[in-house]
Amino acid sequence: MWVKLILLLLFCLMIVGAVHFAQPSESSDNRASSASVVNSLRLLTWNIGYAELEDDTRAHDKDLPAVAEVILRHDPDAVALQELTGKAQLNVLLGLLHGKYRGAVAQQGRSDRFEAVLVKDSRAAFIPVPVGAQYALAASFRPRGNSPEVLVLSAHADAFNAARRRTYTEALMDWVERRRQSSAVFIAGDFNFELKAANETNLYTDNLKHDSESYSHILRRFRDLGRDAGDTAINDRRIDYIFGPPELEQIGRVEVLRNAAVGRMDHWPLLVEVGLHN
Amino acid sequence: MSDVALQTEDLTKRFGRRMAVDRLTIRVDRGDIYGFLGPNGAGKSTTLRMLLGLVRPTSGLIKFPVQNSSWEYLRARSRVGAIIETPAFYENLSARRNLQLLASLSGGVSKKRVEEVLEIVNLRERAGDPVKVYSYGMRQRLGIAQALLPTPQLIILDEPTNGLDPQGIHETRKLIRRLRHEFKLTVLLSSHLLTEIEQLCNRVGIIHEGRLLYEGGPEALTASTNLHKVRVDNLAGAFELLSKEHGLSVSQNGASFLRIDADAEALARANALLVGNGIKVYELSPAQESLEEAFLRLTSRNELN
Amino acid sequence: MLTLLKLELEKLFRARSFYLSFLVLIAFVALMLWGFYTYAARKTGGEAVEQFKYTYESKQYFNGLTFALYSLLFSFTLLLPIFVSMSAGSQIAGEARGGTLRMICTRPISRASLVLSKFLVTALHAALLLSFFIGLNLIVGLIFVGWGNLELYPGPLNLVDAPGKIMRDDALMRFGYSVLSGTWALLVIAALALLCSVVFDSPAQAIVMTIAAYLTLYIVGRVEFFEHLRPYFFTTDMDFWRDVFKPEIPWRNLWHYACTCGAYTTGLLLATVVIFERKDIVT
Repeated sequence: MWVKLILLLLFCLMIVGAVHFAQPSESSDNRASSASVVNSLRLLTWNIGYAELEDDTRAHDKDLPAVAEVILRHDPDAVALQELTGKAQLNVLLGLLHGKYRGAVAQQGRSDRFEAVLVKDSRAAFIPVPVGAQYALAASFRPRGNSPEVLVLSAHADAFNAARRRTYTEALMDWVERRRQSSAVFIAGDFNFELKAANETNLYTDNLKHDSESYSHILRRFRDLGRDAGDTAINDRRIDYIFGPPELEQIGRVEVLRNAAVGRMDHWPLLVEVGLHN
Repeated sequence: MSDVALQTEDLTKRFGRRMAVDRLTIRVDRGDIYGFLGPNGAGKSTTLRMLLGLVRPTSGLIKFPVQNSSWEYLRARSRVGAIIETPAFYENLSARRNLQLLASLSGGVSKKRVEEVLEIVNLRERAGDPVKVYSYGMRQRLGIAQALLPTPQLIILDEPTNGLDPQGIHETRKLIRRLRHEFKLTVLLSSHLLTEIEQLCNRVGIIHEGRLLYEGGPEALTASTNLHKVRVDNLAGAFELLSKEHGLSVSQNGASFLRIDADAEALARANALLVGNGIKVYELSPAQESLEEAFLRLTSRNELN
Repeated sequence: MLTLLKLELEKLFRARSFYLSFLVLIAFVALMLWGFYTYAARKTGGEAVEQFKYTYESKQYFNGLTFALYSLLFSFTLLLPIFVSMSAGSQIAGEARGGTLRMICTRPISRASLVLSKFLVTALHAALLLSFFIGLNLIVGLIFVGWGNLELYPGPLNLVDAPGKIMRDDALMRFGYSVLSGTWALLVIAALALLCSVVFDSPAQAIVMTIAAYLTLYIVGRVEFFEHLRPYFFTTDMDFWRDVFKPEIPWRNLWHYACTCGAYTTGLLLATVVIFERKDIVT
């Protein structure tokens, strides 16, 4: 009898313990500390292209009012867009934003689609970023008059080949490395990384290996700001990222805007708000 | 101190829809060699397993002499030795080590006792050998040795000579007798061998299809009949004549006798009938039924019922 | 209880399968060493270096501690659960099959104590296996690969979300922790196997059922299709043991899953005791 009693007691103890420790501890990531925050920076990244099944998987002009509406509603300081058809499409979008943003598209590489960066700061400088045979785009600006310089990159890595994603990431990081000292660098974009920590079925594929190398390579210098926000694309994929400086202490709002997609878009915008020290 | 070594009351075991033991009430007195007799599948082993706590009774009571609580039941059971079916041991260990391990589980059994029981079953010289090299007979003796470990008052043996060669059977039976006479043990043994029961037991319980058909001395079982044998000069004529007569049952037993199952009145009528029909009656005497016959009579009656 | 425990210990140490399990682990370490060498050589030289400028799996990444960690993680997926299943699954069913169970159960001992002592011996077996395996891996790693810091990055081992590093001495202590957390996780399998051992009279059946249940849940839990069911599988909770290898041990999380595993273990044990006490021993 005593054996059963002890086991029953232990069982109850374990249940109580499991329930007790299940309560989430206060996450340091989400702590809203206002003590030393001087400026906040709000960033948004969005691949506005279409899902694979469409004839043209690049962004469609008819969706631009909806894209502009999302941008205006959430009012980010900088927006990184991917899969635009070109400068003309960007100009339409800038028009829909009522001159509130300035923007540019990346130079044309071997791809028929373009990355773009939109910023509110009228003094922003747009810098082409050569990444192998293609280009990403960076915008350098100060979100507030006295705030430090911020560099936001819009990037788009290969959707089909993890090895190409890895070389792309290496080249991107080499370029970024030279700019990290003078600016607070944020890399935003669609990296197409296939890495789900819990999904061990991918353990033995090269894709996971290359993508985890790429991802880890970025994380050596940066922090994945949208890590806890969940999937950013259909089929339960988290492939859109905003990486920020590791010393960044305050992260405010981190959200995937899941109702924002229109038409046959397969991505949702990722919105991140951080606090910047002077 | 009570004279009862073990008693059951309405002991019942049901496996699903099958009734294995049906309201069994038996009593084993101190000093008995109680033979639990029944054909294969009668419920003997199930009963013995219930007595030893291996099988949970569906209902009914098992009473050892001193037992008012489950703790006392365990204590009472600690003074019961048993072999259920073929004794099994840890094959890689020696007989002695096996006994030592089992002794440690029996509570208060000394190392000296292990040597004593090895001596009793005449295995001391081979006690260092691993059990895996033991013959069937040696295993059986080792089984009895382990049953004797707790210096039991009652020893339960389930088909103790099953599978043994004639020499082994002889030795085992001799050992059982010795246990009773020399060590004053009460023995409850089950068997489907009538000769074994006849040779060893002073009390018998006959079980068939889970029900107790008879309990008592073997003599009473065979004596409690109206069976008579008749020797006549014309066996066939006598059989034909008596077969037609009401109130008696007649059977032809071999070439020289008729067996008549009848009370005194019917017997007198049968005698008159034979003599009246010119058949010479040389002998009319009570017939001693063999245990086998008694067993068959009881079990066939039960089947008819 | 103590007598039973001594008896079970003697049986454990005299069983050939006990030593066999250690031999198989040695063979597994040899296999791991071979695999590790070829993998490391492939990843730190030749084509890999030409194609990519940067790799996390550089020469300093591959050291004895990484080797021990890889070896431990791979063995924990299948090998160790199989050994624990075999050890626990044969405890009651093996004795029932051999006929020794009825010999023991006719003694004046409680069946609950018997189950508990058998479980404790299985737990000891699991702890010994794990300690031996980890110790062996560390020694082999030290001799054949050389020590360094334990570097971790997301992906291959699914341990961390961000790259990190555990300094050598701290990492060694983490291996020590993993003996405790690993054994605790394996106890769920042990309790399940013991339950199967009571339910089935054949040890093979008990072992196969345990391994089948473990593998089914383990594999199903890793298929994305069943992602929403994953939290309800005990195999998911068992994974908590790996948390000790995270650069920052998530203690709260670790305790939560340790308690969940403890609840599984004690619950299964309780069920085992109740079933065994009611079980008719007819073998």
